[in-house]
Amino acid sequence: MSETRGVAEGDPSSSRFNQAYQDLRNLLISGSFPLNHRLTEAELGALLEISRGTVRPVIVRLVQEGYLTSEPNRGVRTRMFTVEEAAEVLEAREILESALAGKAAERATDEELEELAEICKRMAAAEAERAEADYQTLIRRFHQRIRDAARQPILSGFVDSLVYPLVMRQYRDFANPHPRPNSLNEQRAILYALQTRNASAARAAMRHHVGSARRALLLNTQPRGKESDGTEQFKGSPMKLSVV
Amino acid sequence: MSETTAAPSGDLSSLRSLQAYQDLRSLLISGRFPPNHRLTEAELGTLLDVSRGTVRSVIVRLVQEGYLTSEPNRGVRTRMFSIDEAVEILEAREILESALAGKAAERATDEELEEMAAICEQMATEEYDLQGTEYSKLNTRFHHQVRESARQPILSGFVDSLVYPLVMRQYRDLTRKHPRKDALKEHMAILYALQTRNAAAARAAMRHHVGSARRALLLSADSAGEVEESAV
Repeated sequence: MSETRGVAEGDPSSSRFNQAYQDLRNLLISGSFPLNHRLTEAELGALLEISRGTVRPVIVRLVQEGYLTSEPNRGVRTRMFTVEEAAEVLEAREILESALAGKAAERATDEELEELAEICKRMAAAEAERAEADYQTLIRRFHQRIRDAARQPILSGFVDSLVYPLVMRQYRDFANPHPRPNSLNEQRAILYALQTRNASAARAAMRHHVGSARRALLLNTQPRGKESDGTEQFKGSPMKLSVV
Repeated sequence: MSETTAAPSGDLSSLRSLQAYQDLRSLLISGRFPPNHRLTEAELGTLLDVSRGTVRSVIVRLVQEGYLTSEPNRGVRTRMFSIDEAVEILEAREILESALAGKAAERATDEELEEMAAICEQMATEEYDLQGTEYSKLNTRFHHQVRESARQPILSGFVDSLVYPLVMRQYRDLTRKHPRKDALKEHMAILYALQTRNAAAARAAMRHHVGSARRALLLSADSAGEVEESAV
């Protein structure tokens, strides 16, 4: 690597690059494009209002991180996960978050536990008020604080790298039925396991909670049966869990 | 170049570049350079017998993967891990390998179990030379087979990304008691847990085995700390 190169627009250290990268990643996570959809540099440049020179490294990074794929003759495309791939991503998340909860039980400070208890209280209030968006935000914060309390930035980094938001977006009707009546109790089970410094209980409680997405996915997409040819997303007839 | 390939990694499709990458990575793992040692493109070009352009793309990849660092004014350097960083990496490895062993207990085919049993048998015959390269290769193969059997390429990929071989190389005097005669028994414990399809036992056995390096490092770090304090 040259040690004297100046910072160009397409340089990954430039703020224009960072902004474009964040913007495109958010678009991908929010489901702005169809699955397996081909993206051209020209359309992305127009969409993100950046030059082709900046688009290219943004694409490179998102391909490396798994948000996009890039193959000869197929171009750059948005991700599409088979049920097996989706289950694998969710399983990896389950294992990592569970391990991190165990470490958090050992390493969380009293202040961190207090903050977690506070988040739980607010979660209960949001749920009672049916403030779904707030509830989801609080759940994310709850999990993030637990990961922080584990003091294992390597494993936390792996969780962040998992592109499971893309999986949950694609399979949102199957992996995340609403409402989940036990969701709040699951968070509380995690909280009390942490507060009692019970690492194996924390692992089990977290595994159960995070695993519900994967279990719902597998239950609703019937993976047993004929082999997927890779283009279909589901085997058998998927059921949508209705909101009660 | 079409819009489908990206400039920085475009070179890596070439065989020469791949060979250079593998050669340099092996050199780094084998401890050819000291920790935090500055490497120049020129010396690497000569060492690996490739052009500066190829050296550059190899360096980019190894920096991304954590085998090298690259900072303004400090140049490209080999990794150096503090004790805390080393412990963190070994802990992450312990957790991941343990989880993968659990999945392997559920998913390994009979053929895969036979393969692992065969590796253990070979290790037993090499037991007299626990520090030898043959034993080391068998050890690597055993762990690799367990990971493969877990059918969790995402988590396996994370283990590979940990550059723990660099950590083990830097701290090899502290992480290994000579000889580690329990190592073979630990592998047998993992093997039998897998053969009996006992996921919890496989996890525990793997955690114990992989954790020995981290525990040894912590013990050494502790005793080193004590010595420093009393010397003040």
